[in-house]
Amino acid sequence: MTALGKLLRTTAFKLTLVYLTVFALFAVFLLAYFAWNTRRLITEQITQTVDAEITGLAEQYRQGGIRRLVFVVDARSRRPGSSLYLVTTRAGEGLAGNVGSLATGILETSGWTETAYRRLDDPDGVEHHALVRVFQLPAGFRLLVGRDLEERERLYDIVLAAGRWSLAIVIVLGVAGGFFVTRRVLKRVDAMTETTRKIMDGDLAGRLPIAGTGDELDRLATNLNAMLERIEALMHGLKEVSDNIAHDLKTPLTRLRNRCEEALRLAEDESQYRAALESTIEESEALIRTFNALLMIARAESGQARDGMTEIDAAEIARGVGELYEPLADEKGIHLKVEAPVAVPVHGNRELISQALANLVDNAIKYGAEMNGADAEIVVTARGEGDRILLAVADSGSGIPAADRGRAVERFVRLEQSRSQPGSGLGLSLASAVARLHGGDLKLEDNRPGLRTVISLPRAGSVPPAA
Amino acid sequence: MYRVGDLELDRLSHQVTRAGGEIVLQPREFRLLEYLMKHAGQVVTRTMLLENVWDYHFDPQTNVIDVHISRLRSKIDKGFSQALLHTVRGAGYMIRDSK
Repeated sequence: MTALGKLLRTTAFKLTLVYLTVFALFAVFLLAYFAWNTRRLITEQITQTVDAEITGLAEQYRQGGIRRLVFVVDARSRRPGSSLYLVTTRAGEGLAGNVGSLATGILETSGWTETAYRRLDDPDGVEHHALVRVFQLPAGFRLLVGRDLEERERLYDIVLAAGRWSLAIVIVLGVAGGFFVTRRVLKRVDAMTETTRKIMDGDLAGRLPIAGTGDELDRLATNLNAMLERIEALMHGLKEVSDNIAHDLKTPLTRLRNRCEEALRLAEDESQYRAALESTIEESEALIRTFNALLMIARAESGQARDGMTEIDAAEIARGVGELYEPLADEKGIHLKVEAPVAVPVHGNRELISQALANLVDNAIKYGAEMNGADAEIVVTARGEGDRILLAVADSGSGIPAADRGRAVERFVRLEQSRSQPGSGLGLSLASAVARLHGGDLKLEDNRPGLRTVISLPRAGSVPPAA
Repeated sequence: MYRVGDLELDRLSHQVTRAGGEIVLQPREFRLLEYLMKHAGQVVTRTMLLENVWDYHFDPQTNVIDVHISRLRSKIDKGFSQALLHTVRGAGYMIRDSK
C-alpha cells in the first residue's frame, strides 16, 4: 500500500471528508438563503416604490388631465436614476418618459412584468432588465412605471462569486487540514503498530509510545500498556511457578524413587516391603495434596468456583475450622480460641472459605507458636465491620517482618529457609486467591507479638464480588 | 445400634459403652466413631472422614484427623488390653474386633 493510499484510507481522513461535505453544504445553503432573501427584499422595495409612484401619478392625472401627467412624467424622466416612466396613447404612441424601446406586448399587460428595455437617451446601447407595472388610465391612456434591475443582478453576482470562493477555500483548507491531521494520527498509529510488532516478536518489555496529550490515543496506549504490564507479570509469575513446581516436586519425587529402589535392593521380607510401600503412599499423598492445592488456586483464580456460591455464615465457618484444628493445637500446647458470637452472613463458597481459613490456622499452628510455646494462643475471629466481613487468625509467634509479608502470599514461597515444617508453601496464596475470588483480600498484619492474618470479604448483599 | 467387640454405640440415645461402662464423647467424636463403626472391618481414609464427618471436601495441609483419632482412641481403648481402633499405615484407620 502506498503512503498516499494509506493516508486516504485512514479513519481520520474519511472523517475529514465527511465534515468537509457537511460544511460545504452548509455554506452553500447559507449563501443561497442570503441571496434569496436579499432578492426578495429588493423586489419588495421596488414594487412598493413603484406602487406609490403610480398612485401619485394617477392622482395627478385625475386632477390635471393628461397634460399635467405628461408634464410631471417628463420632469421625473429627466432625473438621473434607475426609474423608468412611459405615458402612451391608446395606440401606443409615446407622450412622455425615458423608455426608448420595450419588448412587444408589454403595454397590453397589466400588473407586474419583468422585461428587457432600452433607454431613450441610449437607443443603441445594451439591453437592460427592469421590473415594470402598466396602469390603464381612464380615456385609454397607459402609464408605465418601473425600476431597473441592474442593482439586483449585481448583488446576485457578488453573492454567487462569494459562494464560489468560499466553497473553494473550504475545500482546499479542509483537504489540507485533513491531510495534516491524518498524517499526525497516522504517524502515531504507525509508531504503535511498530511497537506491537516488536512485542509480538517476543520483546515483552516493549511499551506503546505516549504523546502526553491525554487524548483518546494516549488513553488507549496507557490502557494497552497496563495490559502489557499485567501480561508480563502473569508470564513472569507463570514462569516462576513452573520453576517452583519443578523444584518443589522434584525433591519428593526423587525421594520416592530412591525409597522404592532401596526397598527393591535391600528388603528381605514382606514386612520390609510393606513398610516401603506405606511410606511411598504417604509421600504420594503429600504430593497429591500439593497438586490439589495448586488446582484449587487455579480454580479460585479463574473464577469458576463462583457458581457454587450461596449465603453462608462466616461465624459458623470459623467455629467449624476451629473445632477441626482444636485437638491439633491442643496437642502442641497451643490454646485455640474461636470468637464468633454473632452470625455474619457472607455470599461465598463454604468449601473454599473454610479451606482458606484452615490454611491460616494451619500456618499459625506451624509457625506462629514455636517461639513461646508455654502460653501460646491462637485466636480465630469472625465479625462484621462496616460493609466488610473479617475472618482473622491471630497468633503470638514470631510473626513475619513487614518487608516479607508481600512475598509470603506468593506461591511456593516458604519464608523459613530450613523447611523443617511440612507444607507445600501454597497455603497463603490459596487463601489470597479465595479472598480475591469473593471480592475481598488477604492482609498480613502485626499482632504485637505474632502475626494476624485477615481475610476481608464484602458483607452479603453489599457489594457484588469483583471479577 | 452398632457393636464391635465389647464396644457398643446407640445411635438413638447417643450412648457409647465399652464392656458395660459408659464413655462420654463430644458430638464430633460421636459422629467420628459412628462412621468408623458403620464401616467396621473396612479401611476408612482420612479424606473419607473429612468428607463424611466434617463435610469438608479439601485436604488440610496437616493431618488434623490423626489428632482427632488419637483423642477418640484414648477414650475408647485406654485401659483395655484389646485395642479396637487401628491405624492402617499409609491408608487410614479401621475399627475391628481383632479376636
